[in-house]
Amino acid sequence: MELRKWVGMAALATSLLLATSAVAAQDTEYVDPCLDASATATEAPAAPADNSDVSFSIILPNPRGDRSFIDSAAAGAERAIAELGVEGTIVETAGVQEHDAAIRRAVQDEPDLIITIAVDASTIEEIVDEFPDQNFAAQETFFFTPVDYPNLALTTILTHENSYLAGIAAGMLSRTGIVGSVGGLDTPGINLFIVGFEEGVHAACPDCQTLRSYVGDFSDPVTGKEQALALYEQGADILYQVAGRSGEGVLEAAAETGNFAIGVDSNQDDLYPGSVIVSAMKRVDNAVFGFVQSVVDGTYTGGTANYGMAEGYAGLSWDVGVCSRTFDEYGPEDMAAELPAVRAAIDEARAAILAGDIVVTNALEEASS
Amino acid sequence: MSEQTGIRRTLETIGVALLAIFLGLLASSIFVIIAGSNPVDAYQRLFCEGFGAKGCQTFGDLLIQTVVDEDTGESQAVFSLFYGEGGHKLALILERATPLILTALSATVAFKAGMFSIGMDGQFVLGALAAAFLGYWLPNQIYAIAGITDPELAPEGLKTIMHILMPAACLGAAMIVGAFYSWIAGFLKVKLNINVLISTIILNAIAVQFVGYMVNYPLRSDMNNIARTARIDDTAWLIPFNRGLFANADIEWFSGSRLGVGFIIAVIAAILVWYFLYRTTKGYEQRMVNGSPLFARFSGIPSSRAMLRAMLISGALSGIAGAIEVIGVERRIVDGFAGAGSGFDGVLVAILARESIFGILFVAPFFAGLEQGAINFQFGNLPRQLGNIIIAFIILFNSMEYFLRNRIAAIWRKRHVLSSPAAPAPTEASS
Repeated sequence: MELRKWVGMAALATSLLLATSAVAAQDTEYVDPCLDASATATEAPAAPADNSDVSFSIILPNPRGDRSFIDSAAAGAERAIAELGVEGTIVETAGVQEHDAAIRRAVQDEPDLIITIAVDASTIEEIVDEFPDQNFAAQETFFFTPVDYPNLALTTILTHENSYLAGIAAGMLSRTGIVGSVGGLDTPGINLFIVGFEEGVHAACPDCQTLRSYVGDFSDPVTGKEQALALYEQGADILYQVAGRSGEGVLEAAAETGNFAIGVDSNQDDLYPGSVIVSAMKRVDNAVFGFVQSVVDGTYTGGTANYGMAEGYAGLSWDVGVCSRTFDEYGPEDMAAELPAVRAAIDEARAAILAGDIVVTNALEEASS
Repeated sequence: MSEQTGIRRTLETIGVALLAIFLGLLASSIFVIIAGSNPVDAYQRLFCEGFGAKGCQTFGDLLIQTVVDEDTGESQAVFSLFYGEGGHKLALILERATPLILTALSATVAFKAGMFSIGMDGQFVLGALAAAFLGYWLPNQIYAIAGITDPELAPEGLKTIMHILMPAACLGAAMIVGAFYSWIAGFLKVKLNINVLISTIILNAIAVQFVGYMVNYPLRSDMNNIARTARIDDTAWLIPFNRGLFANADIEWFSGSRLGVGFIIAVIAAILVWYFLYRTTKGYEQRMVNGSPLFARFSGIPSSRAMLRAMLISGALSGIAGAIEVIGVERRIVDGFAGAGSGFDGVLVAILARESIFGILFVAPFFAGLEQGAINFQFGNLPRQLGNIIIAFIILFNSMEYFLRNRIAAIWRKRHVLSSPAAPAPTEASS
């Protein structure tokens, strides 16, 4: 007991020291781009191009309203229809049982592109194989064995780099020096997030301790919450959730215990204002828009591609474009005061990653090599 | 019942069904208008998406469609039922209707014996699980015994034998599992007089959860983000028409559909069930139990045995439905798979068909078509919720059959009060 207290205080001292040094290192005042009038000024929407001869259908895996990637994908499709002037059909399905029939029905209309979101790999493979003249694009689908079809464009959004940035925020803001992650399953796809995050934590706070736990399920908020409570009990004060709906339990636990969490995939800062520091976002909307753009430009090709922070497919909810400032407003004052310094450090790390000076471990690549 | 009244009753039933559909469409027009669409456009879309050929736009297109030849630019009228360019929607509908026919037969057999069992969902998923497991496990065992490491290199003779035995084994196992699971509810009713409706609801929940567990844990084949079992071996596959029977004929009508032998099995099952119920003593016993089990027992009918037999047959039919969905369509169980819900939809189909065996053969595709049409509403940029509202209204008005029939009968009597003595009073329909 006594020992733990000492360790806690030592960690607190180091983190405070680090935080102050980070502020001190910042000679020039940090200018928040989101508060900069020129950046947030609404641009006059460009007149939509007329590409009405280009058509696409997008099959959503569930009805809209998930506050996550489905809504994001639909938003991307709507933006493509509005900005590119293409003909688009957005199809919501009620679940796995309707995916196959909906895709097959879409094929009958012969659109230039059929985009599927989080449809099972075997379903896609079978259909792509059966209709070689139809172009497909798949997002949020994970293939175990790499596939290469000329009529299937497959993008994976790599999230290790933006997780690293979230890790920097956690490392700088942690008071106890213990930061945890709650994953859905112990798979390479999930560890991609967690490994990147932990590297970010250690970069910002070399003495910080990182904890991990896995829920074993992506749709079990109750277990997610219990595991979060256990990690908070072990002294963690910031948790990164990478557990789908189970992760909503983590956010809830943060709000209940007065601790903090980091959201994932979509902007979750507003789910529990003041408890969610930032969210590591997957920009599925940009991916969908990119697919449609590639058809309009005539650059569509099949094959697998990885996109990440460099292409704008992964980022933080603090970034320009989303500009979430919920934690500034609702978070504790002492932490909110540190945010400009945190953002400056993140911008620096982002530049270093994009320049190749910092290389974040890609757990997916490690698993397959 | 004379031949003439039989035909009259059939026509009357069809007339009432059409009237109910019309009234359902009329009532749902309110919602279509609220949603800002034109009802006629919406209904044309619903029926074209459900039953039409490619390019179907209007109600007329459902019957005769004008097709423009791409090469010559000439247009010609074709009978749209046979116009299969790019795959006919009916092929998709019949694929979806296959499990519905079997589960509706299952419900009918139970209902006819006075057992209000709605356990089709549970029997269906357990049958599917049995088939999904045997579909890959059994061939693997055989390959192992025969010392074959690569199934591709198995001798043709062995493969041919397995192609006959494996689907039969899967279907047989699913029948046994389904029958046993249904028998539990029957046993509870006969021995302990526990309400079948309640026991089957509970048994459904247990089966669905159990299958969910099995798919997510013991039988999970890989770490795919949606849990699934291993794919069945090719020798256990009931190959769809467009890949098997007509693979070389290149019939576009079937394109994109996994309609196959399963559909033929379902139709044969319907004929067998009809023969059993209306042409055999045991079937007669089962129907007699329905009215009054006590009276049946006094008449020398072993009512408990008849009820249990009905439950066994009912369960076996649902089990087959699940097996066909796995070995004929999906080839594996994916968590929350397509067939889930077929059990309950089958109960609806059975009720809509007024427990008539041959009615089921028409109602099941109609139901599947409406469901598909509602989902595909979105391809006309109409909201899918609207499609579901229309379906609900059609079902609602169909369930008012008794009321509609009596109204019509009353009007009929008034008009023909001089020419005919009296219209026949509604009696229990005999298929």
